Amino acid sequence: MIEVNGLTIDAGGRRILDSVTFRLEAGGLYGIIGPNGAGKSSLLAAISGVRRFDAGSVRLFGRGIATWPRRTLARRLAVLQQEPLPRTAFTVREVILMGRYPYQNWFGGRDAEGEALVDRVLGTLGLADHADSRLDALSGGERQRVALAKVMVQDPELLLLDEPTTYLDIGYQIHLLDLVRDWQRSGGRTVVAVLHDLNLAAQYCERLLVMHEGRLVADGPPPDVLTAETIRRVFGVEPVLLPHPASGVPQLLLQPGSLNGAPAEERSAGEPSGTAGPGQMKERTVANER
Amino acid sequence: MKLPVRIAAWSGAALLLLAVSVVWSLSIGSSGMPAAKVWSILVHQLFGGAEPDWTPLDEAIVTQVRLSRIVLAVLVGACLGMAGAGFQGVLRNPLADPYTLGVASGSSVGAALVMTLGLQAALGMWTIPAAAFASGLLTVLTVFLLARSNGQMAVETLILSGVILQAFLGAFVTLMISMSDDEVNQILFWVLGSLSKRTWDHALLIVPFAAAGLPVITAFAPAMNLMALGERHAAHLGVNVERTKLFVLIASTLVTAAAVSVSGVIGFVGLVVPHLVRLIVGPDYRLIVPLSAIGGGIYVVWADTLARTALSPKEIPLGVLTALVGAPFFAWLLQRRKAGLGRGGA
Repeated sequence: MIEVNGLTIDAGGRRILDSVTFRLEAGGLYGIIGPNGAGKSSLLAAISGVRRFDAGSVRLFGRGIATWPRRTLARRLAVLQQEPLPRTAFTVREVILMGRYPYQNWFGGRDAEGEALVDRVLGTLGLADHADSRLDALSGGERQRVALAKVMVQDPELLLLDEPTTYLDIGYQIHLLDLVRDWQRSGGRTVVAVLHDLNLAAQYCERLLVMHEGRLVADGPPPDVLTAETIRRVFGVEPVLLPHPASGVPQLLLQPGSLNGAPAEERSAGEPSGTAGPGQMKERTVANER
Repeated sequence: MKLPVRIAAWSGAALLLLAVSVVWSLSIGSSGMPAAKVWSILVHQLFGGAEPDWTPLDEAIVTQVRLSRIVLAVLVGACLGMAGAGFQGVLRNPLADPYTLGVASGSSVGAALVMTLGLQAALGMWTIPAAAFASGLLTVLTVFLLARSNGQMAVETLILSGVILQAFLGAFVTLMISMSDDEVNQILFWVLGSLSKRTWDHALLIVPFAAAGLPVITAFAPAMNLMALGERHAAHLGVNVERTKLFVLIASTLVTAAAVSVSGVIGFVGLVVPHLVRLIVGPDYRLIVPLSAIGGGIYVVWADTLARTALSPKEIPLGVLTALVGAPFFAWLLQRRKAGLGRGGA
């Protein structure tokens, strides 16, 4: 489904991605983790074809990413971005219907399948009561659910999520990831999610790719990847790892004062400490998002 | 309501208002001709019949002076209205208008240069329009080149480049106005915009631009709707963002340059009309683009009628009047938006 080979991106004299190579098969829920500036979002942008790369190749559904017409690709690939939808005057239903754009003509009509899908997704995501509300009347969490609804009606085989839970409280985070997982399983779809919460990543993903300084440094099921050694090396913290009482997957406890040497220079370069802040390292090829 | 029905209903209502405006505007003028006579002349022109009880001069005033001027007003307004919608759609900035990328100041420099150098007669009556059109396009091309990096044009860079070039070229025009002794009024009046002393030929000149521009900009309306969510969102939904920007900006620029080259700089139409339309019909560009064209026509017909009659026999420069009426109106609109009324989100 996704074949990435030797993917390399340079920007502003820095190597953002360095010879990243991996393959993902159809039908799984995969996670990409790593500290700020590791190249996770750039990787996702390159896979979805909105960011140019300097070397290597990206193939989706057996075909080079650059050769896909955007409209054709949009029927098979959707992306849920980190930033919530902007406050526009469109209604919730109108915005969700925009997910049908790749299937529609100028009038948008003659898409009975799409209309039915929109109604179903409105119900699934608990947005039916808001269907005719304007987007600028909703909270950030509600707008993120609208964004999810929009990519669901897009009906893709492959969904890429870029830190979709960043602006959400823990209830919404679980809710959103549950919805995504159910949707992924029920349709035999493939989901690749950049997540900054390692505990959520361990619980939802069957395979994790760990990025560090532009390189892929670990790749495998959560128990193999989330080791004290890897976390120490990549995040620079001394972790306490415990098996989850219910599922057995590794869970990470943080300890104050456990910061260890490795990425300290990165922090002194202006990054707040702790877990990922909202997208300081975002590389934008398509500028001016609001 | 289904979209085709909404488009038909709104366009029908807008066209009706346009027709009423044209009739009203035709019926009044500085010559003091009674409205009944104006209509006898028009009916006679169209369908023949009844023995004329008016002089050839009356007939010339109606068909050559008034009607041609009103048709030109409709066309110029339509051009500015659709271009304003296009610019606001792809630049996603509520302050964007047809002149944001520098067409107006570019055209003004061309026209002012012709007048300063006394070359008005070089290509007959078309010298100033041709110079204004060419220099307007050249300016926007420069803005494109300034804003282009890596095969893409970032919206902020486009707007900033446009603002910078506008300031630079505006200074040039001011310089030429202040340097010339006898042509001061000529340049100034061109820059202020006017539809007086224009002919049917001027109107016909814009027709192909308006006729080609409207379908092109309208064709990109669904893409502009998606771009309201942000360029990334639009790209992931299958919009070719860079191509949409390029096509809409080029079409809007050509249409604007054509209007400016014959009418001078008429401000505020392209800014206010799309906002007003958005306030009434909502954020869907499939409605905003065609309705802004019709609305622009209505706005300029009204403004020009006032311009030629309010202080008759003196004419108020049209560009002055559109701003005199437009600025307070825009302020009112902003107040309404602050109060959270209407559907005017950008």
